[in-house]
Formats: sequence, C-alpha cells, structure tokens
Amino acid sequence: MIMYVLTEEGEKYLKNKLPEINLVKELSKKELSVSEAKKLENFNIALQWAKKNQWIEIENGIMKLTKSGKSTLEKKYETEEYLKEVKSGKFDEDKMKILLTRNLVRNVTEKEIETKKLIGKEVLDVTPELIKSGVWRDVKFKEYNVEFPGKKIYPGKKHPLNLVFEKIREVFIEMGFDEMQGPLVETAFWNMDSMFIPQDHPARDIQDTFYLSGEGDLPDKKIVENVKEVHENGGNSGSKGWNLKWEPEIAKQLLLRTHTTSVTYRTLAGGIEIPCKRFCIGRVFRNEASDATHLPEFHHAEGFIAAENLNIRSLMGFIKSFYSKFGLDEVKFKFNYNPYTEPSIEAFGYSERMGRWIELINSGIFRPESLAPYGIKVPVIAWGFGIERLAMFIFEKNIKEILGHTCDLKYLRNYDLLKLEKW
Amino acid sequence: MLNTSLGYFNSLIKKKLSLEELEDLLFNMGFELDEVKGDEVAIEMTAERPDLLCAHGLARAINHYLGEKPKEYKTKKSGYKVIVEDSVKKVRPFTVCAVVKNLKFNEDNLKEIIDFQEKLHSTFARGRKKAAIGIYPFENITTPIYYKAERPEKFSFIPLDFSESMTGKEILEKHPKGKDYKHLLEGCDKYPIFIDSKDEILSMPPIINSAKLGKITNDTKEVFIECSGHNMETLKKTLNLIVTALVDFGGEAYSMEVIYEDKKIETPDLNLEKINLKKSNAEKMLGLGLSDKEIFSLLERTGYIIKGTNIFAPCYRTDLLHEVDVIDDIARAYGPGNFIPEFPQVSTIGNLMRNTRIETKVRELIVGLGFQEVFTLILTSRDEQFEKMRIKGDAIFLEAQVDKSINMIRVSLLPELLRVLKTNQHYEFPQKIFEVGKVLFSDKKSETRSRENSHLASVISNSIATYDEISSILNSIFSNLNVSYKLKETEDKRFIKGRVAKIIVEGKERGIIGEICPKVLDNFKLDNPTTGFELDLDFLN
Repeated sequence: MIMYVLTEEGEKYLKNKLPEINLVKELSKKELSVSEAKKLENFNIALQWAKKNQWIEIENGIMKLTKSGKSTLEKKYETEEYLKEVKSGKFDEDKMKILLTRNLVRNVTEKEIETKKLIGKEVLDVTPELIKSGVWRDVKFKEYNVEFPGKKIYPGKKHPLNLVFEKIREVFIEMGFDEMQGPLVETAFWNMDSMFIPQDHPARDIQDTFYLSGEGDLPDKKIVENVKEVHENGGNSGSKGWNLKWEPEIAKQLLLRTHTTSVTYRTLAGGIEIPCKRFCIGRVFRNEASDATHLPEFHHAEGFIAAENLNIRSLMGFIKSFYSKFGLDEVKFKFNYNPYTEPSIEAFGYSERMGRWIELINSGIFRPESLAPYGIKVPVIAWGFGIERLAMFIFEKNIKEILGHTCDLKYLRNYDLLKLEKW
Repeated sequence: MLNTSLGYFNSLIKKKLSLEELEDLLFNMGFELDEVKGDEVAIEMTAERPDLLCAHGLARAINHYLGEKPKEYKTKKSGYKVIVEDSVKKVRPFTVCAVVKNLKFNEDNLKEIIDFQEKLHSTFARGRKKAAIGIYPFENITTPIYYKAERPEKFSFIPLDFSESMTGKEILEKHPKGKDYKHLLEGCDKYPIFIDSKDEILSMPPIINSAKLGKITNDTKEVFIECSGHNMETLKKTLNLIVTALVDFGGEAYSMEVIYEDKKIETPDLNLEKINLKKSNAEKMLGLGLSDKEIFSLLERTGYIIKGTNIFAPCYRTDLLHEVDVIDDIARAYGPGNFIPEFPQVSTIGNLMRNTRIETKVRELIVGLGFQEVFTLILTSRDEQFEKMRIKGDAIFLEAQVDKSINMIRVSLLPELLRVLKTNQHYEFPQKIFEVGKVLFSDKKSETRSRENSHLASVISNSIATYDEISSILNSIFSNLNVSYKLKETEDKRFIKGRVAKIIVEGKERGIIGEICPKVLDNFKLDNPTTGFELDLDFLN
C-alpha cells in the first residue's frame, strides 16, 4: 500500500496557510501593485496558483481579486483540506496528484511509518529509515552485551602446507635462487643413474620405489655414454666407479620419482651457467605402507649452488642462513652417507619449544662421478628436505590430518595462520 | 642398525667412556646412538660402511678416533687348497676362501660374527646376490675342499635347522632359507656346493650350510670361510670384512690356495691399498689450510696407515672410490663442530616459474571466494576415480604397490574432493573446498610416457547447492582472470542431466561444471547436494 506524508513544505503551509490563500487575504484588505506584492513570502507560488484558480487579475500593474477570489476566504480550499487529511493519516489517492505535483507530500513506505512509531521507544536495530528520517534522534538504542564473542564463521583459507611452500619459496627467492621443475613420472636414469646411484643399490628396490610398466627414453647418447662409463669404471671422474656392468634397460625403467634430485640432475645435464643457484619444490613418492606420520607421497624441497670455491664451510654457512630465516638460529652438523654426495652432512636445529635437536636437512657436495658426465668442473653444494616433516613440526599435527582425503576440515578451517611466524 | 650390549661393547673400547661421551663421539664420527634399553644399545649405522656393522668393527673405528695407531692385518700361508670346478661357471662362478685359527668363541662374539654375516648378506651383499658367506668349523673338514655344481636332485645333505637329509631341490622347496633365496638359483640346472675330500657336503651356497659341517659353536677353535658370487672384487672385500673381524676377536688368519681351471689365487688379500691424495684438493674441499702432519694425523684417526709420506687404506674399507671419500674421512676426524660455517658469497638473481606465479594467483582468487584449500593425494584407486564416478577411462596404473588401497595415478581432482567431503560430513555446512593440483595421463609419445596437467577443482556441499551458485563462482574466476569462456550443455554420468555443462575456453573443452548426480553422491556416501567444477588450467600458461 502506498502511503503519503507531508513534506517539510507541506507541513509549513499547513501551519501558515498556503501562499495563494495568504495572497488572497492581503488583496482582500487592499489592492496591491505587483511590485508591492512581490515582497510577500512565496510570491511566485502564490501568483501561479491564484492565477490558475482564477482568483486574481492584473490590470496596469495592479493586482486585484476576481469574483471567485473574493468568495474564496469563505469557503474551504480543497488543497488545504487535502493537507489536513494527509496530516491526519487519511487520504484519497486521487487527491494526491496535485499535492505530489506541488511537492507538498511524498510517498512513504510502511517501514517509514513504522519508524515514526518508534519515537520515544527502545529499538534493537539501526535501520536506514531511522537514519534517513532522523527518528534515530528520538529513540533509545538497546544496549548489547558487547563482551560476548561473535559467532564463528569460516573464511576461505590456503592449505597449511601451502603456507610452508610459500615461505620456502620466499626464502629461496630472497637468496637469489631460480625455480626449477621436472616430471613426476621419471626414468630410473634421471632418478638414480644420472647421480651415480649404482644399479644394484637397495634404494632401487621395489619395496621403496613405485615402478611403472613400460620403458621411457634415455637422453642424448653422449650423456648416456658418459654415465655408463662413470658407473662401470669411473670414466674421467678420477673414480674407480662401481665396477658393475651398466644396463640401459635398468635405466629406462619408468617410476614415480623418489626425490626431487631428478630435477636437479636434469638441470645440471641440461647445461648451466656458472655461478648457478636453483631450487625446486615438488611431490615425491615412496612405495611404503602409510601410517599417521608417513604417506606414500610427500613433498621435497631442494636446492643447489654451483660455483667456484665452494666447500664444506660454505655448505654449512648456507644451511645456517637458510634456517635462520625460519627462526632457527642454533644449528649443528653431523656427517652421514649418501650415494651421490661426499662429504654428506645432516643438519639439526635446536627447537626451544621441544627442548631438543630436530633433524632438518640432508646435504652435501655432489660426487665428482655425478658431475663429470655433464662436464661440470666446479663444486656443487646441494641440500634437500622433506616438507611434511617440517610442517608436522610447525603445525603439531599428524600428516594424515592435513593431507589427503583423510584431512580434518575442522582443523584446516581453524588452524593458526601465524604459526610459521612463531614456531 | 648395530645392536650390541653396552658392557660387551665398552670392553672393546680402549678408553672408559660414559654413555654421553660415547654418544658425542659417535655423533662426531657421523653415527647416532639410536636407543638404549638397559644394557642393550642400538646404533644407527650405514650400509656404506659394512666394516662398522659389527661391535668389533665399530670399536676399532672408535679406538682409532681416540688416538690408537691403526694396525696392519697379516696372513700366514696355510697351504690348504680349494679347488674350483668349471661346473660353477654358469651358476656362481667365483669363490675366495680363508682359514682363521686360535679362536675363542663365547656367547657374545659368536652372536656377533653370525649377526655380522647376516648384516653383510642383507646390505653389502645385496641379499646374498653379490656374495654369500659361509663359516664352518675347520676341525671337521678334510682338505682339499671342492667348489662345484651338481644337479639338485643328485645330492642331498641335512641342512641347518633340520634333522633329515634333503636334496638340493627339496631344500629350495621346503627349507625357509631355500624359499627366501631360491630366486638366486632360478633357471640353473645345477646348484653350487662346497664338498670336502671325504665327500661331505659343507653347504649349498647361497642358500644354506649343512647341519653337520656348517655350524660353528663355542667349542670351535678354527674356522673355514668362503665367499661365493659373481664379482671377484666384491668377494675379496667381503672376505676381508669377516677375516679382519675374526682377527680382532683374537684369531690368526691363514691364506688358502683357490685353484681355478685356468688360474690359481691366494686368498685372502689383506694388503693395504695405496691412496693418492692431493693436499690442495683436500684443502679446497674442506675450506681449511692443513699441514701434511695434520692431514696424516687426521687420517690415522679414521684408520688409515701412514708410512713415511705414503697413505694406505686398510683392507676392510669397501667404500673408497675416489679421493673425495678420503677427504670425507679427514673431515670426520677434524670434527663437524670444528668447521666455521661461512655464507657463500655467490650472487645471482632468483625467479619463480610462471606457472607457480599463476597458480598462486588462482589459489588466492578462489580463497577470496570463500573456499578452503585441500591437498589430496596423487595416488588413488580405480574404484574412487572411475567406478564411483560412473565413468571409464585410461590412466597410469601402479604395479607391486605395498599399500593395497592405491592402484592408479589420479586423472581427476573431483573424486578426491568428494572423498574429503565424505571424511568431514560431521562438520558444519556449507562445505566449500578446492584444490589446485596435478593430474597425470598416459602419453606414449612423451619421454616418460606420461603427461601432467594442472587442474583446479572446487565443490560446494550444502543442504541446498545449486548450479546457479557454482556457475557464478566459475564466472567470477574467469572474469578475474580476464578470460572469456562459454558453457555448453552436455551429458555426463557424474552429473544430473540438464544440470551439467562443458567449460569451453578459446573453442576448446577445458572442464566440466554441474550438480553431482545423486547416484555418485550415494557411491561416496554423501548426504548433501553437491555441485562442483573441474578446470584444466593449462590455458593460462
């Protein structure tokens, strides 16, 4: 239903009479010259409507009442009556037209009417009507219990592991490393042979590696020949080699990569400009049964620097700086063994939270046998680590609660976005 | 892992060490004390150093590290003969042998040598493939000993842990060791045996010894040792590992003549190996300046023998392929804590790859639309990817996977997202999740016979979930990437008919969007209506 209320102007005319009535009143006292009449309030409006109603006429600059004008003051003036009706809340749709034209009334919604009724009362919601109508001045807003916490809602969020990836990327980029990527399905050549892992190494066992059916392609003949030599007799690397016949069929086997070092060796074999710093984050696979802390797939981060004059101390220096970026300032080193690095170094970081040393990273200097086939003559220091282990440590959650279809949506919705800043 | 009793192990170390001191010492050498349970300790070892896989071997290394001068191992000629017949050529062509006398076995060192033998079998000898070691009480054996191959049904003896005589064939079929290692004799019409001059069978390598001649006890004073396999160098090294351990037990090593049809060799060869080490190479790799004297002393602490200015590696080291392996030993002796780390001043400019940057933007966009990111696994099953989704397709399948719940590599993200919903049905709705991840297809033409694509998939699950809603999400994604797209009505058994469309970008089909068919929801045991889409992101690259 459409309703109407008086505008400010309407209210004023209702109180002080309409301008044309006031003009008639003045003229009924005495005739006025146009220039005198102009001094009256709202003269233009008065003139327009008095003329339209044929209440006045102007002769030689003198305004005077017509016959009907003279009788006006004895009768009710319908426009004024309409105003009164609107004010009292009654109105006739047909009669509104003239009032609307004269901008003396306006349409109102039911809400506005209701709003008016709130005057003097206590209200709950602040509404646009309360603000527009000014009624807000005359109401009391109910006071809330503002100390009660808000209802919980869930934003869209990145996965916690992605936060760790982003942090790792940020650190590598800051330190000047270029990103590299490589395929998830690999040949044994790139996953193992290229880095001098012997063809009878236990890491190649079916219990550790997902082999796929079929054979892949071996790279460029020259590279294959160099790798074969280095395995069998050391080639030109200064090594004895594995003293084991190198079989191309074993190298052609397809598998799911077991580490991102395959990406590193594709990069090295592809030709690099010295100095070179590269990094990679990617998924890797191990043919294992899964439990709360192990899944058959997880992520590795790894990087290498190829440059003149790198040594054990530079490797340790890099690792220290890398982890200080993660807030771990106390790092210690231990030598270990790895088929393609020598020396191989493991780093541990001291965690204040756990009150113990935690294993961080495996690293080393690439063996000459793993570089000679690609003509690389400068030292290459390299390191890699499993991201889930780090993530489990940071977020204090088992991997199955974060990763895979077993993930806990409640945890993902609620996890602390600042965890990485304070672990 | 090396398991030993602490009391026994300590008795082998020349200096009295507290448990903490031992732990620190091991750490500096590059090993870890893994577990201490009462008197039992487990020390984490590496297969790269088989010489340290027995208590005497590790104690020897610790004693050197603590300053004891490394000693040379010597053999005396025994004159005993082992005759190798040509019949073994096709099966297991080589053997090297030794005799050790004056042994005093007790419970501890008997267990140690048997454990050592088994550890070498499983690690260095690659499950007896590269070398099989036999140790026998020499007292009961009549030389010369013959190594030959016979048809498996033609000979029989009582194998260890059994009481009745069995043919070679029966041993492979019935004896637990026969079952474990029969693959090593697969396809051979004759099996190798060691047999003495009284026609008593000692063993059938690489499977099992005879119960009569092949079991050493506390009373054994002299042992005969043989290693058989395919590679002479590996066999010699293996024999040295066992012989030097027994010499460290207090025994005396005697060499034997191993007579092949075409040659005669004297084994074991415990001679030292001369090492060529360029001092400047060591200094470069270590980042240290060292005098010759310092280098020699560091080498002695890791078991090398210095004669004048010559460096020799002990005969039990199997892992020295290159100069860097020797430099590694210098580093260990120097101690990891004594190196002063120095940040490498190598200046380069770093960049992310384009697809990483793009995927990050896509993730941020859909997170902004209120979706929770999940990471599902690439390894999944045919049942989840195809059967439950009511579709058929090709994929890369796994073989011989340990985890039987997986058998293929995912080709689609949607089923994995539905699985996530299944796990989390007890949490609040709506559930809006997404993933940006790789899917793989078989591709005969590619180098690795596979093709990887990056997909984006998202699903909404709620008491009311409509096509309109998910379609507006998709619209928002495309408009914020400034890519125009079209939806084309289609039929797809994964979705409700009339509520599914192909996503077309630049005239190519790039994905699918729709309301998931209730049959599919039922297959995944989901109760709430669910909508979703999956989009190949490669058009952005």
